[in-house]
Amino acid sequence: MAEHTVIAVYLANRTSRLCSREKHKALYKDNSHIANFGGEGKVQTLAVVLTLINILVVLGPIAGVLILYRNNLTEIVVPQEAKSVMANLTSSENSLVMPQLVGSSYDVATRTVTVTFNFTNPLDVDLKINELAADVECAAHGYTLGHAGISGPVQIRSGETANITVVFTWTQQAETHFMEAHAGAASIDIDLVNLVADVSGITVQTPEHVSIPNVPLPQ
Amino acid sequence: MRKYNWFGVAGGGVVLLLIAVSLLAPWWQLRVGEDLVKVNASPLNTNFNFVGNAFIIPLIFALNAASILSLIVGGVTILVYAFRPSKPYSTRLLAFAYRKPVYAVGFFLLSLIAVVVLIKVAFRIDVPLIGTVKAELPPDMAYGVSVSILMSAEFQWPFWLAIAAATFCIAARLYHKKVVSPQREETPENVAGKAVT
Repeated sequence: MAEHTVIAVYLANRTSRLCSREKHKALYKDNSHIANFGGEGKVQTLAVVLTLINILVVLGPIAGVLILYRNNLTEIVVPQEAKSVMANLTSSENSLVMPQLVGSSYDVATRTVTVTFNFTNPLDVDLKINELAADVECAAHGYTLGHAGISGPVQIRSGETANITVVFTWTQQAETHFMEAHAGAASIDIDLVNLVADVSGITVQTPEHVSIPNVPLPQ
Repeated sequence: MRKYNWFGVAGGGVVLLLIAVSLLAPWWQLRVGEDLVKVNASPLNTNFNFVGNAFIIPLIFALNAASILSLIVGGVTILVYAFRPSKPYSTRLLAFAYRKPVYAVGFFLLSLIAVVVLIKVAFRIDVPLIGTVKAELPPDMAYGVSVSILMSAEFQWPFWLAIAAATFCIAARLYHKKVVSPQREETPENVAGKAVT
């Protein structure tokens, strides 16, 4: 009976307070009234449980990893797998080997030299040679003889070897240069300049000259 | 008639769906070269593929595991809340749960921006957040050779699903006021009021 009286008084007070909408909102946000009926304990317990869950789910995995790698904490950031990948790339067994010359042929009519290399892809990923090009100069005189490049992209699957065909087209001026500056010579030294290689989207362009000695001249 | 918070139902459902799909597809992917290096990033599963070799970083794995657990708890909690929004404890459940996908998206974006800025400052390499760029290696790193690297980055569809989950959860928070008016909320005084009448 006494409890009903308390509730009635409480409800009367509350109803009067509901007259103001702002007060209404403030009352709604305030959960202190729950205390009167013993509900706050449960809500507080729930709040503690939720906070504990929060802490556990965040700290648990981090603590787990710290315990697993307690003997070598650097591996938490740089794992062994990453080190192995880098070691494999730089090891002599798997490092990139320069393309090997397979053969060459001349076509005087079209003023082209076709040179074929083979290249083995030692990586675990397919490679695509999108561009391989250079200007060709006479090493002795620095005279531009023409341009060399691949005719189209070359796909090399992981672990496989593919032929790369480079076509060098010499200019009419180059023929004049051969006749004037290298008359009677069977071969000349050439320099590859402005060398550009685009392998799977990584483009390397070097200002260095790559010298190729004793390139036979078409007779 | 029992009232549900339908935004909460949608939010919880999408959060749980997001967890499942994020284990299979990243939120953001960076490709260096033509698949020479791949970075698959999300708060739930981040892994790296370096010239065909996949690996994870244990610290990031731990943070991912924390995110997975946190989102599972958040998703389940918001579902529990959404089906009983007028219970005295529901506000607590909602406050606990609705922030989780919002924080996941927020922290993920901030971390991504921080990493991109850090790489720019430390290595002077422009890593895109979205789109394709040809980044030039600084000359001192390239030993006199000009090296440019094709990089493309994009947000994947799970990221947009995460945005949807966060949006639903925020909507659930806002809708809570409408779905549970003080008179409707099963606060002890309301229950007591019913008992009196």
